[in-house]
Amino acid sequence: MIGLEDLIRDDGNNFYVNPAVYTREDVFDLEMDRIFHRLWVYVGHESELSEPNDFKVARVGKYQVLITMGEDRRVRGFVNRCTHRGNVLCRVGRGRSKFFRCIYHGWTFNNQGEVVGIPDREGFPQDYDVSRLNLEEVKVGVYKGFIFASVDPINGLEEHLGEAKTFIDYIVDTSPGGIEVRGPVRYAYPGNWKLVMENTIDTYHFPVLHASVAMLANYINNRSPATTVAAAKNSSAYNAAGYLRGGHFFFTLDKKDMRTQLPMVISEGELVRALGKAKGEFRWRCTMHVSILPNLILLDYDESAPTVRLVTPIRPDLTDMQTYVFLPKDLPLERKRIILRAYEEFSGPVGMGSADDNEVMSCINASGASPGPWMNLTKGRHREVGRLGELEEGGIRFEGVSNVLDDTFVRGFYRWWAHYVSGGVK
Amino acid sequence: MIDITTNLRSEIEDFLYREARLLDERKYEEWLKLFSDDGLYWIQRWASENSLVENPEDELNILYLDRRRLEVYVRRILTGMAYTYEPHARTARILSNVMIRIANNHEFRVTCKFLLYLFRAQPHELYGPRMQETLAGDLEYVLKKIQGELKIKLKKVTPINETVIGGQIYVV
Repeated sequence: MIGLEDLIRDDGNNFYVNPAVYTREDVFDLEMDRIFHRLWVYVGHESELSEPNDFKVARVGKYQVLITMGEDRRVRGFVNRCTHRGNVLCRVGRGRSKFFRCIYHGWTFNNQGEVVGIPDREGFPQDYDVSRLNLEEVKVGVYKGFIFASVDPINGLEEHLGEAKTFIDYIVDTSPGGIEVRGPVRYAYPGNWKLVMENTIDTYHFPVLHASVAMLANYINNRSPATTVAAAKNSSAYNAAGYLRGGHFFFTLDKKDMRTQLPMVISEGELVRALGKAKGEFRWRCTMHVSILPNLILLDYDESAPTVRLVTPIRPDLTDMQTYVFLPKDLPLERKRIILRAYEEFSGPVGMGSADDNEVMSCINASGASPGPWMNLTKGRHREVGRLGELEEGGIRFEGVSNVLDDTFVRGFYRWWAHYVSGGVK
Repeated sequence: MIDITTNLRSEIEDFLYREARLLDERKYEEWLKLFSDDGLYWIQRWASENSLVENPEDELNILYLDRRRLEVYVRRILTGMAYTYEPHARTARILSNVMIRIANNHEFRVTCKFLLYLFRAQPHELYGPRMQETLAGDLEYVLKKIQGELKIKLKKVTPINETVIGGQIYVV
């Protein structure tokens, strides 16, 4: 049994987390059971399954799953295992097929999970109910094109996403013609899954870890990390990072002094028309990142590149990353190209930003595996608030927030994390 | 097709070996000078188990840099604050199976296989998961003669390793 007091300590002033949360096998197993098998896990975007009979494989915690689109255009999920001898049923990552035939004895299933072929069917009595041999279904839900799956959900998808829906809305509703994803670029880092979720919202590291990028800012494609650094240090109230009900976390960054990419995609007037005055003006002013538990990260156009990150934990110290660029479908090709190049040079696995992020994340895991002091995540606690008019203008409802350079969002996340792993349902 | 003389083959092979050596010796600025002004550096991405992204302009790649952006990429490594390269991995690049496929008087299409051994020990992970990696795959070059000197117009890298653990590829 895991005692949370061995992992998180809050004395009312200081907030500590044991880096063992990144390294311990028993903690990882509990996270799989209580978080990845009970929340809604992101498995892909609708534009990856654009035609009937398209499919892809994914992981939901420890389950290997097969996500299919039937002829009826409904997205379904199944455990990717032949119900006979347990062989992996679908052995390719993605493709188009109505049927899946196990290579071992030839049992065949359609993409609605029904067994449709059993060689030597006479081995079962004539009246045997073969529907009991159908694939085991996994629940699937779609929110504005983002596909999620869950094995044993504690609530519905929309309830799970909660206020995080606002961030998805900001991405999708900005492009009335719809968005498509490009990718994935796939890589892995030898560190815990939580680290990339946290790092994406951590702006505090930007001027330090990424100083080498900021130094070269004038040369870099279309937007400037140096202006990100300047923006983050600015005292604007729009520079905020915090956490939502359910444990999702985010930042917003005032773009007043930033060179940005959003104007390539939409004008301020179009934005106001698409989102309404308050939200349109907010989106024009702020760029944002969000980490949606347990495994979806969205980065919008301005700070780096419009990115979807699908995070898949493999072991406590190994995480698979599938990263996509999202683009408005109707964006002119030459603008799409600028954004694709912006992703590659900064956010790709060997990009000038992400490579160094991976370096730190793997070093934290390496350090966390040995004894030593706990992480102090107190920064910003004295200025954490539950209300902030500037964010409320943008329709963002949160539990706690403070300056974008603070650790407030991490504290909020770990309170919710503790709640989930201890088995509670709020 | 123009006959590929022994002299030409030697010249091209020497060029490739010199390029690999410059990278192993971390002489990035000299390496950069091997590219022509319109040079391109491309690390290809696998689209599926057995297909590659072939339209780099309109798709997502591991890396797709023109000469100007390649220079920024290399300059960052040289700042001493690109921590992926601090400490720098020790590397050994082996090139083989050199084929010179198309040649006119000034431009040559060259393919070869590469093996890149990479050892990167840090005190905390001398026996860690990233201690040693091997990348292997294809290199494809378009080389052209400019004022008698060979320059790289295109270097395309296709590692067979689809998922690089560590998130780092030291192909550059």
